[in-house]
Amino acid sequence: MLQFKLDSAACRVLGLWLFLPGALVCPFLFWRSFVAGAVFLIGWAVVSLWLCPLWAQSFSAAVTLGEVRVEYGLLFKFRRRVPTRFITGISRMSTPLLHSCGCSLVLLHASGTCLWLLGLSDKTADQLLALLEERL
Amino acid sequence: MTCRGRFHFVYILRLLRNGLVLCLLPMIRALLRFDLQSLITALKQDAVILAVMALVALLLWHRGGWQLEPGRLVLKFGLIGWHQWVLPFDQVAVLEQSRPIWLRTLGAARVTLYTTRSRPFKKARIYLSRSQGALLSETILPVQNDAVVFAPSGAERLRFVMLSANLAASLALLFVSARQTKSLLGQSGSALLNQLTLGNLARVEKLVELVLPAGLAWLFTLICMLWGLALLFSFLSTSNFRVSRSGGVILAWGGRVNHTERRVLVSSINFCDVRQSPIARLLRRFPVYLSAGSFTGADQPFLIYKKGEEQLLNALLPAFRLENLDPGPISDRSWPLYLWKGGSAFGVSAVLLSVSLWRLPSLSTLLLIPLGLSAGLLALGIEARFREGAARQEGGSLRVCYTRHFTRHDLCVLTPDLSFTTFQTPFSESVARCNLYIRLPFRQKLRVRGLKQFQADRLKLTH
Repeated sequence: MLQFKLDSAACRVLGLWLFLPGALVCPFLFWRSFVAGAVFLIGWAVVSLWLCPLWAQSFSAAVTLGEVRVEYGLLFKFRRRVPTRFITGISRMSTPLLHSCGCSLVLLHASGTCLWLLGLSDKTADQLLALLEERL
Repeated sequence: MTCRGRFHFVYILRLLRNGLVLCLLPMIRALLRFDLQSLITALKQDAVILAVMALVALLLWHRGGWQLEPGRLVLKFGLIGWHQWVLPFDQVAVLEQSRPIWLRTLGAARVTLYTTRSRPFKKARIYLSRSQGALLSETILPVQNDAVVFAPSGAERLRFVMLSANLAASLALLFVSARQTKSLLGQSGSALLNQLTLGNLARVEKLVELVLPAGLAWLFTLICMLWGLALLFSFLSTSNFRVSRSGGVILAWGGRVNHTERRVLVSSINFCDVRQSPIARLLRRFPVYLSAGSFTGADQPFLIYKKGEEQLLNALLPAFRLENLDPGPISDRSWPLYLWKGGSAFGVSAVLLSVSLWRLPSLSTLLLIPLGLSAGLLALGIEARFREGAARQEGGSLRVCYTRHFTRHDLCVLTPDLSFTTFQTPFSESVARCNLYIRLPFRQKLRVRGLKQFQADRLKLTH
């Protein structure tokens, strides 16, 4: 059995990824109106740099009894169960920022769905992949 | 055994049809200028485009083809570079051979292969000669005997026609046919046809106006005409309909004008869906739709049965069962969750009706239609609150019941390849309830509302 959560550094990186598109758009809003731009920037910063990492930290997962079980959500709760027997593929990728934090992104593909594990530490990702490859 | 061949000549026509949009480009300039010289130039350019496309299509047809090898089918496409699709026989979930009248006159058959895997492709459609199509079907999904399990006749045939009629599909088919007829007959011919059609419809409407108000009479006439067309299409497509089982293959064939044959690999069936539409309830029959691989059931049921005749379906699918489903404790199931759609529509219709009674009495009768439909939706929502649920059955299959729009779906999910997702809002979390989403192959999704969280957690994922 393996239990894990998303790495806190990876959660902050996720927030930064979400912040960047808003930061690119806000100059156009500032050009239209300073107040609108300021409100948008503050709101977007709160959502991406505070709420998003908070949401990512609610994520918890386990590989047990032939299933991958994932729970996440703050106000609206999700629980997902995917049988390990029917996982058809595993993708693992890392950006320079995630790599510097010692984290990576893991995707588990099944025929009807895809499970995104956003920001696992490298050690956890290695353990998870080894466990799943053993069961596949 | 290895054999190979080219696609039927119809393949060239299909390629030409896809490229016809290029002919619109010279026409745009002619339309903008609106003079004879531009039109002649545009027509000359169109002739060149068509000639080039015909040549390219001919080369593609010449270079492409199919090859039957031991255990697999290879399809080749391409002009300069090769593009090859390899399909092992055990990855074919459904093989559909359809021969509409225009293909039958050309001696061709349209063969569609639905696969069990989504990569590299989930569906392949090719055009072959009739004998090649038959050879392919017999090689990939062979049928040894044709012991018929379901062959509707008499009143049962009529019920099957009514349950197979699809108003939306018939409407689309009517629209396409009308457009193609207009282009064939030309301006004067289509004007005459329009006059005849609308003239006769107006006569029928005058007759209905003896009983119903004017606005309602027109709507009633239109609905009856469309429904009649849907029944006609259904009658032609289900003519001489038979279903049989041979080894691990279910064979369904029928159709007078458009002959269709479907072969389904039993081991690839995802679920059997028994749909209780309002017409099915009136006729007291259960139509059964199958989903296998990337084949999602189409618009025609495989068979219909009445209560107490489940052995008919078991003869086709021994693993099929629909046990009584206990939805569990329902006292704290949310009413708005099931009734918001029907309730909102009913509320809006009631308000409109009351306003029309006050201000526009002539419209009141017409507004009874949306009121009636929304009342039906409301009634189904109430039923869904008492019936929706999911549970494992003896034998390992998953029993699911859910309602969507006007139809209740009772499913027996046979595939073990599925995953669960539960979703809770703060309100449902306070009563420990959730919505359960069952994800099946090819991104098919089933939703069961208002399940207890502990029931969803205890639901076995694998059997």
